[in-house]
Amino acid sequence: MRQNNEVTETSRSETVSRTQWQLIWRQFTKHRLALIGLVVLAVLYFIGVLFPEFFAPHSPNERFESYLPPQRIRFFDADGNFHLRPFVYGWQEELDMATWRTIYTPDETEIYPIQFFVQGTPYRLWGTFESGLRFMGVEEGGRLCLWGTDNLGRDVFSRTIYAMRISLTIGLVGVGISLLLGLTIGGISGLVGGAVDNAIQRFIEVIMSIPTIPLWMALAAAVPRQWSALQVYFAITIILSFVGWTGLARVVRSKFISLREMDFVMAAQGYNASQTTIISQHLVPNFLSYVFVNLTLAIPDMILAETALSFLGLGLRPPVVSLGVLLSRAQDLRTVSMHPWLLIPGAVVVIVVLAFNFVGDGLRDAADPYQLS
Amino acid sequence: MSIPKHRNWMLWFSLAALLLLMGSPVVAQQEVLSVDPDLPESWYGERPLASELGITEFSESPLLAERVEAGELPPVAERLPVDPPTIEPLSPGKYGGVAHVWSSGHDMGVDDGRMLAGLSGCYLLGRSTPDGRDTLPNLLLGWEYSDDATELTLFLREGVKWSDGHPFTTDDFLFWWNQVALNEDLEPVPPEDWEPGILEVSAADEYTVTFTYDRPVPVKHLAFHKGIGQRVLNHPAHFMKDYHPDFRDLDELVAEAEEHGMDYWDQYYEYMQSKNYPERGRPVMDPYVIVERAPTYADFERNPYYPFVDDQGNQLPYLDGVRLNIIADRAMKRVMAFEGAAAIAGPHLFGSDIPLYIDGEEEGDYTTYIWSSGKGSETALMPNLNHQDEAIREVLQDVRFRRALSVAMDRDEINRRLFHGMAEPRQSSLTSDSAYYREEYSQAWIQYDPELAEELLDDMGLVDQSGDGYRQLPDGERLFLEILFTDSPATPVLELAIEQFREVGLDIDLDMVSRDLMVERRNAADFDISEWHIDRVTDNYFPHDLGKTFAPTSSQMYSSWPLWVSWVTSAGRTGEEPPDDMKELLDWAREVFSNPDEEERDMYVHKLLQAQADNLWTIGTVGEAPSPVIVANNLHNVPRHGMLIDDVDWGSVYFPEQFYLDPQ
Amino acid sequence: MAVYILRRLVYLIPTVLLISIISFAVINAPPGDILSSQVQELEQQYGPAAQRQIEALRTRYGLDQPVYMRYFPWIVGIITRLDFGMSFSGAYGIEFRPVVDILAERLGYTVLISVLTLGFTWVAAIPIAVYSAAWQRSVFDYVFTFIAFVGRSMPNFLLALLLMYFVYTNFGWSLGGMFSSEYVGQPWSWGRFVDFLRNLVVPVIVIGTAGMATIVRVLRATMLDELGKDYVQTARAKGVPEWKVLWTHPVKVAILPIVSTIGWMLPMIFSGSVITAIVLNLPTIGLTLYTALRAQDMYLAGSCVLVFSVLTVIGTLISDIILAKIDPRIRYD
Repeated sequence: MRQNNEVTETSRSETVSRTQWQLIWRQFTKHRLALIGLVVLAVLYFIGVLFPEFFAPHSPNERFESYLPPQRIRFFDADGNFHLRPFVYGWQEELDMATWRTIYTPDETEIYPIQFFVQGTPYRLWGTFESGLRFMGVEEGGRLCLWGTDNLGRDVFSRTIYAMRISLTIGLVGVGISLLLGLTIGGISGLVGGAVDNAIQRFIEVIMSIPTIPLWMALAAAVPRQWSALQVYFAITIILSFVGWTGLARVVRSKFISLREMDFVMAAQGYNASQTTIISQHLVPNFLSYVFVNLTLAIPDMILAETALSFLGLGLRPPVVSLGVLLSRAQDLRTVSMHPWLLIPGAVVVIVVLAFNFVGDGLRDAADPYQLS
Repeated sequence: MSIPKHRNWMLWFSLAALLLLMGSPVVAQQEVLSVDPDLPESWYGERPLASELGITEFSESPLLAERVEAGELPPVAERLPVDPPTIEPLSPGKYGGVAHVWSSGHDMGVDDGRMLAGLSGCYLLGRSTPDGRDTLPNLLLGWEYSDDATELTLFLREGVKWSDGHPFTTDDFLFWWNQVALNEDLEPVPPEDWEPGILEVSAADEYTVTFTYDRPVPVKHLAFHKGIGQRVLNHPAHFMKDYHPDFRDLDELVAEAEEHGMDYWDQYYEYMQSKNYPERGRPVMDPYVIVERAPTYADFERNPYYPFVDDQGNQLPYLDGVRLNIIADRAMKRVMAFEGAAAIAGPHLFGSDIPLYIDGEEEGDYTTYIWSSGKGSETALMPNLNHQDEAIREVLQDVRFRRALSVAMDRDEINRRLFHGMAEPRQSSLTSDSAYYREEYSQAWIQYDPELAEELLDDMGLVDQSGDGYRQLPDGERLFLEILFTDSPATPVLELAIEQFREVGLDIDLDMVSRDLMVERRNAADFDISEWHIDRVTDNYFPHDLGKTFAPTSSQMYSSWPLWVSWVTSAGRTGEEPPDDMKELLDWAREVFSNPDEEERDMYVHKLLQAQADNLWTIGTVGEAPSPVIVANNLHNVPRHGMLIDDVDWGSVYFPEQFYLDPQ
Repeated sequence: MAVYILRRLVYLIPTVLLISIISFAVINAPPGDILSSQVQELEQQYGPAAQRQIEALRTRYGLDQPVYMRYFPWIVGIITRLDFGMSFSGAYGIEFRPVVDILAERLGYTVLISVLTLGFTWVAAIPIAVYSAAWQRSVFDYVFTFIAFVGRSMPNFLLALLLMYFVYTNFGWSLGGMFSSEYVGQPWSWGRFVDFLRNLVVPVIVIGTAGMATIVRVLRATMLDELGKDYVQTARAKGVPEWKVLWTHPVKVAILPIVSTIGWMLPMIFSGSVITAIVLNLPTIGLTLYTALRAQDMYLAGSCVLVFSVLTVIGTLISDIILAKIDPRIRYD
């Protein structure tokens, strides 16, 4: 608390928060993992949410050979010659009837140099701008499937990039709602106190002790059935947020209680500042950083929840492309043992969630190194 | 097509070269055959009697011999029927061993338990032949129709006993009819609605029972085979009488029910009637009886009174027991099959997993048998001819649209990508084993011809007016259809199909829902196109069941016409009245069902099949696909080829009683 | 103290009742009931008459009653006779079975796996946290923190699947279920015990890693706080060995807050156990809950949720009492 107090004792709240943010940022940059996490997230959101059409070499539904293994990007050809422009080999396929498997071997006679800023399959950027410009690609007849293809021969790399648009954004609304609920209910609880506080706390306890799976399953089934898969999922995230606000509400409450007792608030009360003034000018800026931390830690939970829902068959469904959908198609033994590249979207989930966690952790440390939970 | 032609050509070339190189024995193993050519002749005929084979001495498992010695059981000759029916084993078997299989329930009649026992009901009247073409007497000695086919007389074998040793007689039939079927508490819906036409069930003596109908019922086999057969075996009269108010004091019975936490006697009756709880002690006719039930497994032991013997007079089954390992999710069954933890596994394994299973053979000490799915189509599309939107209905009712859908699909691509190229591209129709099979039915409109599809659609006035790449309705409204389905191995087929539809400018998407929601929406005609597989198309089923697929007689999962079905089954109270061409289909179906003249019946079968081939009420993709059956290397006498489908009781027609394990 | 415990116990009653009401309402919220999931089976048996058969059965089993009319007898039965009602669902078709029998079969294993997971999480998290706090920003601090976080970031089902395959291919352990098939239904023996432990490894790791990162974070922060205090500096200045400095007092203080994590760890473990149990086929209540919810077997599902919630509430209560007992700073109000 010491740091915050020093800062907030200066005059106007705007200045207060600005200096506070600056301070947080300085602390944050010291946290190396958090910084890396932030960069990773920025890159992924840029590629996956803003410009997936541009960065994916193929459209998500283009079909090539089924179960093509990942292609290696090469600089040296079979004769040991160095190519400045990286390239991939073409493929030879062979059906082995003893094992019922199609075996693909790189065809060293077919060299496809990787080209950048090429014209590929046309698309509509954000559903409006027609374009065919792709970040990278190979000539007609070749394929650039860096992470292999799935059962229908669709490029896993491209699909993963497209999947990020939905997976990285769909939790945001839910998080926003749980934030609002947490702030309001936690705030009331902390400010009013007494019987109201007690009742709210008991209620939170009740909600927290009901396991989430039945809530998911029941709510997923209760959503109107005319809704499309995307609408249903959107509804579920919103409903999830009605369960997810409890943690934040508790933090906000305890924050209010501890702040209420603090010198500067007492002082403000002392010279008859109104209740709203106290809240908006002093209390809110003071724990905005906590809200922010909570936000960064709630989003990855939403992303994980999406994959869990897909696993249970309640989440998004094909033809929607999301990380959960990609994974739910790959959660069998055959994938693990024969087509492990289909699990790469899982690695992307891990990276995204990790990055969010590190950023959240860094923010928490920066906002208040002595805060415990 | 995204694959260049030369690659395709290379693929076929290498395939041909491989086939030549590998020689015939290996190839034979990988052909998808629905019938093993090496099955004994006797499997296609009626069960030979022991006396016909000159068997006078009977022997039994050492497990039972011990109990006989200890005085716990009567000798084997007394337990068997007077002249027991015989089953010829594929090779002489040995007694003993417990086979492990994986199942989602504590019941031999579900999941993989069926691979070893079959549905209990199928043993009553008859058992299908291995090719699924006919049903022959099995537990019964035989049956007889009266000339006008209104009376069916069943002849029971003398001395057949329930698993507690009580004789199985016409008493059991009479009890089921009088005390169960006609009891309003137990069967709130009268039998007239689910087994129409029965006027009376009467018994001339202990072994002769006659069903009298108010109409001719010439192809009734299956009604007994699956229907009444199963029902009668679920109510052993001598045991269930103790829980029935016709034989007990009602107040006493209700008090007993309440003691068990139930409100009324009927619930208590059903509770006692469940055969999956050893402590309730309900006798069965199955080859195995449950002896222990735990959350993770159920142990079954051989039924000491099982009436069949092998061709040497050894009482069957050979196995001493079966262990059902209980799983909650079927994915676990696939894991266990791969690990080699199951003696046999088949239902719910995916054909697409065949490479995985072959890969695990050595480690898991099993062999992957390739059976046929026995399905007319693994995935079939059923356009909703009763669509509530008039414009859409008009489109779906137009035969040109259904034909366009059919030829827009590249079945070879579906086959190659998802079935290892080993399935059969075909229209929704009977399997090639059927006596009614004709190529013109199975090959109708299955060519891949996107230009023809576009032509047909243009012809209907469905053209792309807005320039967004998709066709609109003639009035310019959006033409958007969804395929209603439930998650299954069909999912990738549909994912591929809608891509192919998009290539001819049709905006079709998928709508995946849970199974019960699918049933509900289907019944309410609240869908555009629905998806289900085409089974029950072997002759064993087809003449009886055909309506469900090719005429609007009954709903089930095959339904392009839910409201017409509703109208027919409710005698016009609900649903919509079918148009004349549908009424014609219904007339034909009625003829197939009730015409005593076999030749005429066959004529109507072909009329129905031809109508389907022309009109594509349901649109097929690929069928008779390879289905893996995992057989442990120490389990013997399992046919190399077969059909893995309900039509043949999931393999129970291959006489699982004669499967045996290597002695330990 | 006694008054505090008593008051908490009294609070418990309305909490549990409220939970039972909410969970029962939630379970009954989706349209349809157990019979709608049996439609297909009934259609095979009854053909066109299936719908009417369903209506009749609905009346017979009391499923046509409004939710509150089903709730009251159920809850009254539980309170007065420990009667949790009847389960309806067999694998196919209706099968009656007292819910309490099903729960009794599975409660032991569920509690065992939850306790083991809690234990594993703590045992693994404490050394990592202590080490990372003592050698803050060292390579190992980063590595351990990273590993703990990866566990948290990996979807449970994926981790379970990968570990299962890894263990099968590398050790040849047959997985899935409580025992390998050769030990199922056998009397206890050394081999069976070892097999049992083997089959616990993967689920405990999978469920446990999800919560580990949080524990590490909390513990590490407390440790850092504690290590900055004067008495530690004094001890160090006196030349007390570092491990002794760490383990004598700071660790003891830092471990305290972990006790309070039981409150949120338990629901997480239960939810995690549902998904893990599906992948690994474990006979936990989590799995029963999942199948019951799918089949809309309402009394069974309701009872499972109730059991989970009661376990959580009791766990929280115990942790609060322990905390109150060992931490004098907590006020009993």
